[in-house]
Amino acid sequence: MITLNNVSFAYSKKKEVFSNLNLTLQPGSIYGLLGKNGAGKTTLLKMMCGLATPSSGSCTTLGEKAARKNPSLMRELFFLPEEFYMPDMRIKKFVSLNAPFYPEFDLNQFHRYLDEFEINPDSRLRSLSYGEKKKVMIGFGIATNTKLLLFDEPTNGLDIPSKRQFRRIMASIANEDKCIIISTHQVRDLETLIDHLVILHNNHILLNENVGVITQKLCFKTVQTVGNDQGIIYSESSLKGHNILLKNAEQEDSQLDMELLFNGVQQCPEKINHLFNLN
Amino acid sequence: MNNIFSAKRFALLVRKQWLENYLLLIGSFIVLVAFDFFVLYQNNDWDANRKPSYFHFNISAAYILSLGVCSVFILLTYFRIINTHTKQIAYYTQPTSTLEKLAAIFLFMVPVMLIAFGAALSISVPVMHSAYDSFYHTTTTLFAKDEAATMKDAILVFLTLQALILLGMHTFKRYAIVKTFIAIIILFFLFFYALPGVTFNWILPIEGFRNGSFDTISYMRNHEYGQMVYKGILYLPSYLVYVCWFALYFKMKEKQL
Amino acid sequence: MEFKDKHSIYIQIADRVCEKILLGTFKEEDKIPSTREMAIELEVNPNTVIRTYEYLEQKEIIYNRRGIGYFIAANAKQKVMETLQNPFLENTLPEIFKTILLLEIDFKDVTARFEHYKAGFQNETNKNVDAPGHE
Repeated sequence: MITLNNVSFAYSKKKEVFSNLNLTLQPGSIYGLLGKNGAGKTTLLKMMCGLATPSSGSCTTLGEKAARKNPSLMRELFFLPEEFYMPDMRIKKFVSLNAPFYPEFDLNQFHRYLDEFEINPDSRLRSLSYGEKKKVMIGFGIATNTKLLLFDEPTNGLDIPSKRQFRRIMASIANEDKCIIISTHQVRDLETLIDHLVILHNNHILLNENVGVITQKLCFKTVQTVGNDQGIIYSESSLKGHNILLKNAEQEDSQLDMELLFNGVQQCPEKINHLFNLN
Repeated sequence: MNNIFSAKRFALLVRKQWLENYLLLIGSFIVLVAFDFFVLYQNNDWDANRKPSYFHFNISAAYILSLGVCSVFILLTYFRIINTHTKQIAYYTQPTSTLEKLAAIFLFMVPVMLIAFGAALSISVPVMHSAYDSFYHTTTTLFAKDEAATMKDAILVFLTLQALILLGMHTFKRYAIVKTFIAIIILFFLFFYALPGVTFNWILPIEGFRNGSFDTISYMRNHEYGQMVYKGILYLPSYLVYVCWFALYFKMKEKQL
Repeated sequence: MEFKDKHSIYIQIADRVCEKILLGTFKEEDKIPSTREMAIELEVNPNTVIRTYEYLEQKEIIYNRRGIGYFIAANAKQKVMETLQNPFLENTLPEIFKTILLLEIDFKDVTARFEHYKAGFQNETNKNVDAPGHE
């Protein structure tokens, strides 16, 4: 669905964001895009929808060169940036002006989402808070029924019940034809939704793996004391003891702790790399 | 699917931009009409002791000044569409082709602007004229100097400036307006001063070395050949408007955010 | 000492389904919620629920009727019990025994409390069975 082939990108000569990056994303998954501040998550999303052009290499989205921003591509994707623009008008007018560009837009569906998010469809956009505006945009984006959804920090600014509603809605729309990419720092909000992780670190992709495969290769545990176990990749202390990340030699089943994994990947990139490139 | 130009998408885009900006556009038109009234008021002598037989209408003043007002407002409208990063993201991720976006800008910038400008004059001149007549209880003749050539030039200059400003807004990332104005001043200097100067002093030094110094003005005045070259150079800026719109297309096509 | 670690989400969902079978909320030949319904209810990725159902199907606790959905298999309760009894007896019970011994709790007291709990639990379960769909 999305193919990045040897992509390099730099905002200026000094600040290189990516070098020789390769990545293929398939439909049917909710991808979680993780990385520290400035790792290039937003740039990567922008590249997928043609707002950033690789300085070398190519980015193909839905079979088209993303940089061309062809209408045939743009109407099949929806990009929700972290900071977004909403004109000062009523929700109804906003929809009537923007929805006709998306052939699969479903108005009833949009109203269902507004209802779920408890937003009055007659409100003026300016009178809404940041979080409410974001919910309108999320609802609109999902109701466009595009094949590709690119969400940059969607849960930022949402209150606690809205995060739940967001997860319910995402669970209801994920299907085998859709590719959903969510960049986030709030892993706890989305841990149960994401089924494929892409971790960006120092200009390249450190991990690009299905959650099932990750838990096959890694085991997440909380222990009282950390021994000199060879299998331990990374550990951090918590209230309950030590959270450890270790090689899953005995095919143990454990729940993926994305925060722990993310920290582990940042601290010991070589070990992780070694583990995931073996087969 | 047609990715170059679709009439349907273009219509949707124009509709959207109109409905998002119509208040500003209509407001601008009202200001324009008011401005024309003001120009007509200034053009005429309102001293009640005289018995004027003409109602003056200085076309070039009204034209040039109100074109300026027009340009400013329409540019403002367009600037409103793309003046922040978030607006640009919304604008460029919209499923319309570059040509459709460009055509929508062109529609508002050129035909709509010229029509509004003509409409403002055809409202203000008759109204002001009859007001003038009822003020003096006479019937005056409309006196308008025929300045078709000046008007044509004025329109061209404004369309060129407008296109340059648009291009500047798309080229410079920060302080776009300031940089654009500096660029326009530099261009002005290049076309009207440096280019003729360089041409006559260096490229065509026919008489330039005769006395060690060279008088461009007298050379142009006195030599048929010099006049031809000078006119040719002056024609260059009149093509700038096409170059600008062409360049704008590629700037928009390759826009990075 | 190791704390009891959380299992993968798909196993946790399977445990949930199994518990409902044991409680009688899901009975033999009952249609269970579709993967999408279950995903929405639990706010998880539908792929995870698909994995859960495949896992349960493999264990012959549920079965798939093409185009209709998943149903509770005959003898599902029996199978769930078989699968869960051993791990409980082998792993969980010794830990409870250990705690009882360490805290020097009188086993008679434990038996009495167990009988009391059992009476209450059966009441509760019967209510659930009488009012299906209630959760």
